[in-house]
Amino acid sequence: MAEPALIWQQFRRALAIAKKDIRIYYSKGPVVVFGVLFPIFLFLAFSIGRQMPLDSMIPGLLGMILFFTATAVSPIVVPWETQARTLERLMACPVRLEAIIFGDVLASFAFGLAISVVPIAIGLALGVKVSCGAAFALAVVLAGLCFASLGNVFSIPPTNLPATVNMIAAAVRFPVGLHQRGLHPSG
Amino acid sequence: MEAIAVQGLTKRYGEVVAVDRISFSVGEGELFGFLGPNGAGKTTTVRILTGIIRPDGGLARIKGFPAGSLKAKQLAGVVPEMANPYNDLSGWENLMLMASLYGVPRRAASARGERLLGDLGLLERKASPVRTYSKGMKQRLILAMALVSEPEVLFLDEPTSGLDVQSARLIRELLRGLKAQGKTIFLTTHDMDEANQLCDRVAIINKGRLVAIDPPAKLRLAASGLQSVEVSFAQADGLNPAELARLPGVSEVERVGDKCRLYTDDPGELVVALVNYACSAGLKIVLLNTLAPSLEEAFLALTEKEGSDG
Repeated sequence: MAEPALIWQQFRRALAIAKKDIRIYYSKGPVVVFGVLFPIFLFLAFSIGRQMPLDSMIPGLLGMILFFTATAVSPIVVPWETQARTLERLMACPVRLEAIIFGDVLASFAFGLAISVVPIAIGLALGVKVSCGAAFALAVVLAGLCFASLGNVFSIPPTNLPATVNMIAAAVRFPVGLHQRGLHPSG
Repeated sequence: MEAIAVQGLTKRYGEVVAVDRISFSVGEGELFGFLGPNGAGKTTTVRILTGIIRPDGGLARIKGFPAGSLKAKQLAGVVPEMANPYNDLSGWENLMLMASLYGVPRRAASARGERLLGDLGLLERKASPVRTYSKGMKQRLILAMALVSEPEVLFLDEPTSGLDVQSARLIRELLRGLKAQGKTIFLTTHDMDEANQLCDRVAIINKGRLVAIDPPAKLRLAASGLQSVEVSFAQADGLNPAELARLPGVSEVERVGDKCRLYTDDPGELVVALVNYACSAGLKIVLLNTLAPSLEEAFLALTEKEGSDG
């Protein structure tokens, strides 16, 4: 098969994997708690009692939510599927390993983007102005893709225990969330 | 063209050689059984052939394409031993996911899905989450998932293991139907009766090495020394194991109720000797049976022989 046709074929199969991930993993309770509520409360812990302008608060909240949602589930999909004995079936399908990983990244990315609508809507409702819409959209998309890919990097250790991968992910996510000046609400 | 061709296939896990330079081929439309005790290398071989793991040496081809390549995977349907459908999806969603991953057009996938679920008795439960399915239903669904792409070669790793009688029978019937359609089927199983009933040829693997490849009937005969003749006389005192053991070609005599079982390499010669013995001793034969070893006996003999040789 010619390379462009093969890439298109594998992209469509990656989309099927992403749809499956969204249906199975992104509707679970722990995802909502760790992916959405947790960054909101973390943000509130930083912001309450400080005199911060809205146009500093909203980007901080958006960054935190995007970071925590896009990296919330992707690390545990592979160990979860290994444990549930569904990964082996997937590996036997005519889908490249890169397409399987890309499908997982796409699901995380879509979830991160969907949830980031909440702080954007809050910001716009409170009167925060976006100075350049295209640059803002590009930044959100790029950040979403990068964070979703980072989440998948955490699932590299060969294990079928989601807790093992979660521990590694937490060791990176929390320091980044707390100390990255770009994400820090007071940064 | 051979549907499956394997040459010098080797796989090591550290010091352990799981598969040791095995070679065999499976013809198109053949139902090929792959037998062996636990840890013999059956599942490792299937995992290499289906592209889940890579071999350390040797070659494996599916319809001429290297095992593990996209083209080989596209032509194959797989029922792995350690596999589950997605419990949070319905049976139908699992089936359509597989169809998407094999690039089956939506309309064809729907038609095939309805037919397969109907054939496998799952149509009424197609919208239920798989977590509510029994083990037999899950296994039937996995088989449907393997068939939705209409593969030319089907790999089944212990498909009836631990299933209720009805599910196992349904799967065997389906396999017979697929063979009649000309599909090539590679079946690993522990069930000797299943292999005996279904397979055109059977390969026996032990400690990573192939011990034998033959049709089941020929394998049974290959286990020489396990052939026997059962005899019973009208006169109870005529059944003297010590005297019977002196007949030509008898390697062992075993008393089984009112009969004696005489093990031999040449049942034909022994039958003649028994008739002559009965005539000369004035005994009346009431039962005379030649018994071929079962596939299970042949399997045990071949794997034990290999074990003692190794």
